[in-house]
Amino acid sequence: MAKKSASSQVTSDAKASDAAGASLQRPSAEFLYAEELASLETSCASEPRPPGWRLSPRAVLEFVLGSPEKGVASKFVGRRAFLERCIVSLATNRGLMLIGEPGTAKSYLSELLASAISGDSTLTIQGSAGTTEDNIRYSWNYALLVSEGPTDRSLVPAPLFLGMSQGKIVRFEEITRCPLEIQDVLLSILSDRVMAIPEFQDDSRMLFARAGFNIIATANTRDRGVNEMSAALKRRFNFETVAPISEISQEMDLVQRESTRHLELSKVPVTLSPEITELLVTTFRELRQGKTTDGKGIEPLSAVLSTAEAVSTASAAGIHAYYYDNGVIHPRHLIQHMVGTVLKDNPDDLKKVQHYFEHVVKARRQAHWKDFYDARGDLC
Amino acid sequence: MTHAATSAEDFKARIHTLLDRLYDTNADVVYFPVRHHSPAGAALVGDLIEQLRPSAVLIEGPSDFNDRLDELSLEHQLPIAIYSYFRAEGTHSGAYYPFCEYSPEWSALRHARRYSIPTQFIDLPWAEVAHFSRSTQRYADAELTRGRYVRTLCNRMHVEDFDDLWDAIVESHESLSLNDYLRRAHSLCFHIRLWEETIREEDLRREAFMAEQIREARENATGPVLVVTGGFHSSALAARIEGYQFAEAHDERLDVQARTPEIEERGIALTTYSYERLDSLTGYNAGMPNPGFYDYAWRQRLAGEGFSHQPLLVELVREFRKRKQTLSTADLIAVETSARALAALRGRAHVWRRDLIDAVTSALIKDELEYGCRSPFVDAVHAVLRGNRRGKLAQGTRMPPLVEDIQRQLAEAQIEIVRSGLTVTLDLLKPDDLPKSRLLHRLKVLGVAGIERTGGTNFLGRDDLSRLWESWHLRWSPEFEATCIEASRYGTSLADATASRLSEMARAFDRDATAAASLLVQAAQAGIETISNALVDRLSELIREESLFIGAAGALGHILFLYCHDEAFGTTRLPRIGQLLSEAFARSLWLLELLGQTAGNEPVLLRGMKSLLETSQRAADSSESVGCDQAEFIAVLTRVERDPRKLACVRGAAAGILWTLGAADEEQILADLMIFAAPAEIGDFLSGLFALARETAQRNAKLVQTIDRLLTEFGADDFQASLPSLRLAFTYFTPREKHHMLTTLFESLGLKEIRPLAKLTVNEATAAEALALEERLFEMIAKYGLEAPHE
Repeated sequence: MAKKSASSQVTSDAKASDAAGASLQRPSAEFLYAEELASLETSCASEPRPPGWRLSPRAVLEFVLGSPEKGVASKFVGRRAFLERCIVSLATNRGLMLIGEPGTAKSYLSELLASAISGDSTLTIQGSAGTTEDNIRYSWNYALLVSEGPTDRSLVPAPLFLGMSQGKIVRFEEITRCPLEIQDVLLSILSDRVMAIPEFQDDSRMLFARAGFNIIATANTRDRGVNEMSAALKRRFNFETVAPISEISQEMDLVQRESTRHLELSKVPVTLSPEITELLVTTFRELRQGKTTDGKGIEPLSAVLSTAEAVSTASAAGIHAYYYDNGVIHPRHLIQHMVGTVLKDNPDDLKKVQHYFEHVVKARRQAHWKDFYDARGDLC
Repeated sequence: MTHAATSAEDFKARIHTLLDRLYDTNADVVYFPVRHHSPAGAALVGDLIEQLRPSAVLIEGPSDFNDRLDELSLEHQLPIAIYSYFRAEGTHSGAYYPFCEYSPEWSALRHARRYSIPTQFIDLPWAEVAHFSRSTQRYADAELTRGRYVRTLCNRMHVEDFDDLWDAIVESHESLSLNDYLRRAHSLCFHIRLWEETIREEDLRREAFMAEQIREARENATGPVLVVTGGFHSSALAARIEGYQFAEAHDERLDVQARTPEIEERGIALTTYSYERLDSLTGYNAGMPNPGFYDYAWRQRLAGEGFSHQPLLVELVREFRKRKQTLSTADLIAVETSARALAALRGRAHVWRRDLIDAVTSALIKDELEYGCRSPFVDAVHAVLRGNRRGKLAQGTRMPPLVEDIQRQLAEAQIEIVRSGLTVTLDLLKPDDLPKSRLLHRLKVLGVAGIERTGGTNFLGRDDLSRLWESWHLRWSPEFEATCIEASRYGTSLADATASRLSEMARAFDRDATAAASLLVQAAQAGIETISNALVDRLSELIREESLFIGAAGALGHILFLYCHDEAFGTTRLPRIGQLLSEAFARSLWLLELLGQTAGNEPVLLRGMKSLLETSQRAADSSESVGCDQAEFIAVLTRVERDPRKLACVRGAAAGILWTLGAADEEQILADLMIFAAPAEIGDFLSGLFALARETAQRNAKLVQTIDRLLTEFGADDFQASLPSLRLAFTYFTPREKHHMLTTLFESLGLKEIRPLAKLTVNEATAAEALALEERLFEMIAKYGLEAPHE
């Protein structure tokens, strides 16, 4: 118990200092949007909702997609039907599995959903090759276990235990990075909604999940085949593919907004000009989709070119321009920071980028595209 | 009150007056707004006719069909369509007005007939609007589905697109009253129109015409007149007729007569249609998505039952199992739960179209689903919601024009297809025979039964082009007529139909440049009119997606033949072929750069590289550009030539091309040759070099000398190892050329006389044995230091 209260002490301290002046690198969604969540909760009080949910499904949708009338900001760009399906999945007896290319905001979406539905997005299991059952279910405080035996006090709950006992959404990040036997821990929990604790006596031997508990897992399509999920587990999840942003204008807005925010956090007073955003987003999209904006086919790269990568390239270019140049982002800065993103490991990608510059970029007449082409030296 | 406020108030008042007029069903002209193919609209227009008993029913439809309206009352099996087509200045064009049982227009026709009410189509004939419009599916609602108003309303109603919006407002409400329908549909369509920035000229022209028809009908009518048109036009028509201030002031534009192409031939006929073509998910700019779903909803409405999605779900399960997709009972429960939950979230009392699709997507697909990408489950859902109904025309309907066209052309060519069979041999260079060949090729492409090509010049292999001929076997069977009628779906004239059939065939392939080229050859054989823009676009796509150098370069060879060497088809220097040529050239060049170490196909590789060189030379020679930049070509080949990961023969060929084009000099070639001096590689390198630089190589004394020097330095084993590939390399030269090379060599070595090689009296094996023995002997001599010093 001592351990737990200590950790909550840290959290509340951090929150207090945050209110005074931001010191957290990245506050959680329920903290960042606390006001919006509270107002949505009041406004949807009369609507029907699944047991254990803090907001009604409609209000969750509004929270994520935004609602100008209610003053709720849009937080995620995606198709409405897709989000409706995600939310409905969480209300049924299946878990929700978000899959997609790296950098399509899967984890962010799962955070938003968890904070809207349970008011808590911190019950998170990070899947990795080293994840063990202890990280998922519970473990013991051995000193207490020896002196008191298996009691509530000596049990150290992990996110799944907490989610089930409090009726909250549990997030399982990168589930396919975990070994199969660890993934399969979820099998009985998802179907029977009960966790056995054999060390306890009688009544408390079974932890029955309270209403409101469910799991949002995320998996990366690039990791496919590393630890392919078992068919039994697949059956217990509804799969939803998070697609890259379909509208170029939306993607440009997002890159502009997010990179500005990142640069502000780093205290760099530089913003992306619309031309630079256009260069970056267009190049990333075209190389990702294998198709130019005017419909010509090119070779898609094998490297990951997500919106998130575009944002980090833009921020890096901004910081570079601020500290080592006159503070104006030039296409050349983009090129320098695309090197690390675009040319990760596949040597064929270099050829494809050369081809792209010679055939697509060269043909564009506007001044900033010309600069972009002239600066290609670092890349090709 | 300020002026602005007054005008805003005034504007609002005017909107209300117009809308109130539109809602009025007791006026002399009643406007019924439809979304084409809307079951709710179909049911309610029937109710309205029954209730109103108008003295005339005016329907948005081609007015040039008015004198044949009786044909519509025959016992057809729907869906069918009115097909309107014309030919103007060499271009063919046609458009469909499709009807299914739940079309409001069809319902209006049927009910009017039941009460013997005079009916009339009031839209401009297609031939007169075609110039302003590209939509060949005339009941497609394109003007409703786009625009700012729809986007805003979708956001506010929390739906995705116009289809869902219409479902949410109208279609999914079973007991929507006539009055509510009129209010909702009129108000929606009116506002969509109000928010449009400009109304297209096509619409203005059509509305001016329709208004004229309505005025005339009103004057002659004894009772109320019912006007059934797309909702987008209702408000504009009312404004024109009743003199409200909303008739856009764009009419001046119409006074200026736009130059419309002279129409040489036009026609209109009934033709069969299918749900597959009606489905906006499969058909090009077709009407509504999922016609099978609305058909089902319509039938349930007719039966007077409440809507239930269960039978559709049963149908879906059947389809999944037919397609061998596993679906457990638990999965089915998950689909049903999700569908109901989605319907509830979307505020619907029962599961509707989108809920069903989304439920399947959510519960059954266990893998990544790219947007717009196919999955067996989604395919099955779409198949069920599309339905497989096909139309059939009643006996006594006039034949589709294509059938008449085929009969006319066969008669003109004096080909009579008889039951006993007939063999025809054609010489393609004869002006009389070529049109016959084209006609037969077209019938073959359309899949008309009994037309078979039994022999002739092979334009893909091009082994023997000394005589261009073909032979055909033609035999009549009952299927002949049936297949002709079926082929009418591709168009009304034979050339048109063949062109669209070829495009359809091209769509069936994926990433296959060779298939693209063979289709192009087929199209050339069927006559260049069948090489449509759509076909060229699709073929370009196929070429662009080809992933193998051999495929792309093979296609390049075929296209180059058509573009430069063809004598019979008239494809030489055709710009469309030129476009494909440059596409194939660019693709081949790119794939060449990516080419890895795939041995075993060298002759094909070299042939492909030869096509590249030839294309580039043609481009340089001819005045017109085929889009290949010489400088870039050389840059790529230089990279290929230097790439250590490429095959020796490919690098040799690249060197050969550079040499031929003058982009590499003798020194460089000799330096390259030194890199490949190893016995395992020299032959491969030389075969590449000789294949592409035959002329230059045989005249170069230095090259011949260097090869000679390298070979004499080889030991006997090495020489034998390199022999097979060297032999292959020298087969690129004729005996005369070989002789010439030898003369060059001997002269440069200062040897005067060339003696023919001594003829061996023993066989090769014995000679080789002797050589090996000799070699061992000399080795031993060297080993023991018994060698005499060289002098």
